[in-house]
Amino acid sequence: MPLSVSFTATQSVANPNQITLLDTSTGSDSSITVRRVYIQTAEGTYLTGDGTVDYDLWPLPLATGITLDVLTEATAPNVRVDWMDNNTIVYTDTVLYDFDIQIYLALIGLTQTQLSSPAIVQDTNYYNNKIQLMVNVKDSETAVTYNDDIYLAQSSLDRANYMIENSQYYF
Amino acid sequence: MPSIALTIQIADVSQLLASADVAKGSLFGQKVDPRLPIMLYVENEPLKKIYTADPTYSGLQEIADYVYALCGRYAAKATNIINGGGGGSVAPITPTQNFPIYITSSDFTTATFYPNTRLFGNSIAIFVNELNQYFFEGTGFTVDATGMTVLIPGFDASQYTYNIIIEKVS
Repeated sequence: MPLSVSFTATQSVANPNQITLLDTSTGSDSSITVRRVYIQTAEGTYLTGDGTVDYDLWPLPLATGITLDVLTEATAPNVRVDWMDNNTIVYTDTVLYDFDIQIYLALIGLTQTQLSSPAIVQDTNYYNNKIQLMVNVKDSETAVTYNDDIYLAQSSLDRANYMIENSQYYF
Repeated sequence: MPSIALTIQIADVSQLLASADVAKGSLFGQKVDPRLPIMLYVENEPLKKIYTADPTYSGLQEIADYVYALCGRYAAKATNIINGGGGGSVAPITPTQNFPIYITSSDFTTATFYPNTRLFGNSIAIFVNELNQYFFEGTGFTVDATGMTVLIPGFDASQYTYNIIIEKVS
C-alpha cells in the first residue's frame, strides 16, 4: 500500500513556544529515509530549531513525533513536511496553521487580573480593548480556516501581539 | 460550582439568552446589561480554547467560576436547557370528525375501502341510498384506524355508483 502523507501540528499550552508534529500518514514506502520540516512565516523567513538551515530533520520511523521550540509569539506559518529518499523529495504536504495560544493565555491572564482587581473592568476602554484582542485572534483563525490566507492571518495576529506587547496602554 | 466543561456550555447558552433579552430592548424587555452577551463571549471563548487544548492547565476552575457568576440569573435556565428541558412542547390537537359524512363511490380507494382515520373510535351506521338500507358495524362494515371496509355482498364502489351517509349512532 503506497504512502498517503499527512501530519498534524499542535501548539503546547504549557509551553506555547513549542509545537509538536505527528505523522498521520497511512501506508508505507520503504524508500523514505528522512523527513524534513519547514516552518515558513508570512515574511518568508523560516523558524528552525538551530537556525543553521531552513528546516529541521524529523527522524524516522513515521510514528515518531517531534517537538520544536520555534515560536516567540503568536504566529500563522505554513508548515511543510517533505518525506524524502535521501535528498529527493518523494512526498510533500503543506498546511497553514494558526498558532495563537499566546493570545488566549493573555486573555486568560486578563480575566485572572479581573478576579484579583475587579474594578479594572471599569477602566476606560478596558472591555473594548479586550474585545478587540478577541476579534483579532478570531480573525486570524477565520483567515486560516476559510481564507487559507497566511497574510491576513498573520496581520491579525500582529495586531493582537502588539496589544499584548503594549498591554500597559490597553489594559 | 459546576465543572469547567459544564460551565462552558452554560455560558454559551446564557450568552444566547442574554442576547435575546437585549434584543427585546430596554423598554419592554427584561432589564439586562447590554454588554453581558459580549462579556460572556470574551470571557468564555479563551476558557473554551485553553480547556480544550489542555484541561489540566492551572487556574481554569477559578476562571470557570467567574464565568459562571457572570451568567447570573441565566445560569439556571441555561442548565435546564442543556439538560433537555428547554423550549417545552405543545400537545398536538387531535382532529375531530363531524357527522354526518356524505360520500360517494369516488371517495373509495378500492372496491370496498373508504379511507378515513377519524372514524375509528366512533359508533357509526351507514345508509346506502342505492340500497335504501341502513347497515351497522360488524355486519355491514368494519372500521379500523385507517378507515372503513364495506362488507355488503356485491358492493363494488369501483363499478357502481353509491351515495352513502355515515351517521354517528351514539
